[in-house]
Amino acid sequence: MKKQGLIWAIPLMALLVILAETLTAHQELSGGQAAPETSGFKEFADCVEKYEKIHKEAEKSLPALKKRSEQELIAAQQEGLVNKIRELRSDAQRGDIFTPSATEAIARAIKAVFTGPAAHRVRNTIQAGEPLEGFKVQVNQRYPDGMPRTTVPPTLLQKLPRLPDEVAYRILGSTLLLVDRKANMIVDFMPNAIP
Amino acid sequence: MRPFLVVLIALLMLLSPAPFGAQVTAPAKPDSVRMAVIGDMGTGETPQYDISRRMMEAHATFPFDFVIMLGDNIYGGSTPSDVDRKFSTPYKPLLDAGVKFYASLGNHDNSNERFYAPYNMNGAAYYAFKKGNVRFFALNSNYMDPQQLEWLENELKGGGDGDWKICFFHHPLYSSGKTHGSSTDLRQVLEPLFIKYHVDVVFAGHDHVYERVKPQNGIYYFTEGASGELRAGDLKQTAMTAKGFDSDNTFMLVEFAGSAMNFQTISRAGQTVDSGTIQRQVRSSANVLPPASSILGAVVVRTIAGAAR
Repeated sequence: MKKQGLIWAIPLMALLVILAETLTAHQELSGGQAAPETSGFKEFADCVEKYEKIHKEAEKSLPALKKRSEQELIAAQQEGLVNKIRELRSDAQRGDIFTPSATEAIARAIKAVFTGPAAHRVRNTIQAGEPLEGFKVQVNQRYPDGMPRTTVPPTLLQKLPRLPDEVAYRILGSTLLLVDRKANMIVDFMPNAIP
Repeated sequence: MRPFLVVLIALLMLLSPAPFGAQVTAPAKPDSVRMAVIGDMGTGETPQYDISRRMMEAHATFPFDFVIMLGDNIYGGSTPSDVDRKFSTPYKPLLDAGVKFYASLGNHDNSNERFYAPYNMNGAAYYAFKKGNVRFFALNSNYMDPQQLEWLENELKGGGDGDWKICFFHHPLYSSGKTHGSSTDLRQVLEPLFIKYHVDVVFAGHDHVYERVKPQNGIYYFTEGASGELRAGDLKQTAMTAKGFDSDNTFMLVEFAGSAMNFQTISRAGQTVDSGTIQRQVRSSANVLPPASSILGAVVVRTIAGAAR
């Protein structure tokens, strides 16, 4: 009876392994889902949420930008937002949002993409970006207006934690930036994130 | 007349663009949807102004109602004076004539351009609109996050079977440009949706050339990235090119009349470098996946001139 059970167990286990592999492959082909919840991602999401509140507070203190505005107002709003956020985050430092635990989780997610089947096209996308030379990345610094941006590969975006509208990921060389979209300002950054 | 005056007049004639040389080939039917297409134009330099003059000339015989912009709308700074020099001034005659502009964002654009009223983006980096039986989907190819893909799928699902589905954005899924070429990672996430929901035509920029690609899985791809910028000689010889032009700046005129899309590409010198008609097939269901090899329509090329590749 024991031997009979073992005979069934082996193909059953093999079937389970094949099923698991098929599921993983399917996720990759269909664009995949967000990476699994980890404590690092949770910590990152909490820090982003705190930043979101600061952004909203800064925005509330400025004349509202309508969906259809003139360029003068748009430029003034961006300038005002930069100044107000700098004021509210005067003690901000690198690692406030990309905390050690968040950095570890994000680095793991990035590594999985760069060692997976999409590695070649993801790397090509980043390498196709026009380099931005002579720019030293700092927290609360504006990303230079008019300078080109490297496309963040969609496959990579599918593996990173989702972000609210106020912020976005951006890639600069091997550094992963978190930028405030409206202020076009660096909120935090993760050096050597891109292998 | 004094000799120096004769020389001056001759010089001015040489420097100013030639009179409109291209006959508009699209029929401009009364109920058709008519538009122009420009990409990578926001330099504020002479070629952009020359192309805008050609557009205005074409508008006299082919009164298009709107223009779609394929990104890199404003290169360099985007201060109010930049926007004047790189958008409001060159296109003023068209804006004054009531022509609307619908923008998508390129890698050189400030993302706050989405709030700029004349771009009709209404604060959104990606959006959809409809003209007649044509549905347009303006995408932000700089940042194709899962939220945008979910939005796109929902938008593509809707609409009637008789509607054209046109997507436009900055980075081309298929391109023979030497500088950038095809955006393959973007293609990986967008193309399955385009096929599944029967997108008919895709317009992109980024490579500073003009190219019409042979239908890929039944979808027509155009790159128009030379309406201000130009990378002369930047097109590679590839099997996927149906028509390419990389020796002058260009813009496109497009007309949708029922199940036909007429297109004409005109150079800065006023030459027609490509034109033709795409026939759209009637769909039985919006959710049926066509076989990979199927071609939904056929392009009939009428005129080809210029430095072809």
